[in-house]
Amino acid sequence: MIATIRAEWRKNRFRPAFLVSLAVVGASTVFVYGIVWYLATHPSPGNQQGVSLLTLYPDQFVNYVMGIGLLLGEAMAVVLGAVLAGSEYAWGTTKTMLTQRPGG
Amino acid sequence: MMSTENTTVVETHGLSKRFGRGVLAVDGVDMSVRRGEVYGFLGPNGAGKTTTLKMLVGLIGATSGTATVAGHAPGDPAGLAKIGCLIEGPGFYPYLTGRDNLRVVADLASVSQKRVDEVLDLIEMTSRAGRKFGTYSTGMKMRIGVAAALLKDPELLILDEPTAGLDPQGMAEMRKLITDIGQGERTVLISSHLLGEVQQTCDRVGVISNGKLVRESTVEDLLGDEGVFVRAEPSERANEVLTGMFGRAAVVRENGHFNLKTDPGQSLAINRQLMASGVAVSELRPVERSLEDVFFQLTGDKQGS
Repeated sequence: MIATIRAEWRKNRFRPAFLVSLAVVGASTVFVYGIVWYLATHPSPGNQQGVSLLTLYPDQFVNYVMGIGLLLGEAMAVVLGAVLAGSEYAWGTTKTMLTQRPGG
Repeated sequence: MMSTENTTVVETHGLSKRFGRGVLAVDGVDMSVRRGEVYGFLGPNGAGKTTTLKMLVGLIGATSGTATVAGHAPGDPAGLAKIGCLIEGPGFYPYLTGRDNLRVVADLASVSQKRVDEVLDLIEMTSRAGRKFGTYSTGMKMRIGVAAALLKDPELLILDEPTAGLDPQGMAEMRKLITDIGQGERTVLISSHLLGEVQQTCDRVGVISNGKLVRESTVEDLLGDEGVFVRAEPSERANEVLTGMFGRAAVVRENGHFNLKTDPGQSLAINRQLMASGVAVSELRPVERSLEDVFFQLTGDKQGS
């Protein structure tokens, strides 16, 4: 099991699709956090229920930032999964993997 | 190359594969590969070689029939631990180096990372192992494929068309590599449609055509007995002399020449006897059937076109 995880890490850490997806996830997290930060620090004058600065605290991070980015993240995960599975098939690496020692 | 021990490493009985309701790709193949031999699986393109090999390693299931590979059913993890294979060309990650690709395979096969350097050394790719796989030539890719198959130090090595796409030098190098790998107790099963390659590297061959195994024997048996070709005049007198020497059954007369079923070492005696009998010999040479002749005879001339 550990060896399998190590193999997955070894092959994915330099994989263009993986790296691009990681960069996009990072960028969208910063973007969403930036929006929340902007709304918290620049409340509109007439809006008494603006975004509180409390939303920028770490305990609210998952709730706000990840919550808002969830849909985007799900879509990206589907695309990344399709790209990974497709390229494994195209490169013939599926055959290479399946003829090793399953469960080793 | 061949071991004296004749235990069977691969054995199939009535192995068949039908895709959907259509093509019967493999039709009742009964084959046996013995321990320590280099076995050539010979057949034209589309004959069913790769499909058979895929069934042996469990990549696809058989429609009917049974197979035992390295003492286990195809695809059994315990059996796969003893098998190294290269099916339909090398499948690796183009953005990883040759060495990193082998490291991934070593992890999946539960093999020590030290073994990666050993096999790289064995296939003489150590100095080029740091380059990305996608930048390799076809020959280098094939070598990495063989290296991956050797990682487990397998009892049985299955190589599907290992010289496909290689230039003559690459083919010669791969032949040498296969011959070296096949030394000792390791069993090697290679499929090919290149007759010279099989003739030079294999102890026994199985010939498959239209999904059926039409012949399985040693290369020598497949090629048949040697003979002597004689062209001499007058033909009638030559026939009398040759029949007198070897018997009627060993002399085949056709189109003004004779094919004698005898050891080519008899050529000198044949020449002397004919000359002494007043027969002029214009041609006398040993006859050897090539594997190509046998192949076309077994599979039909139009196969593989």
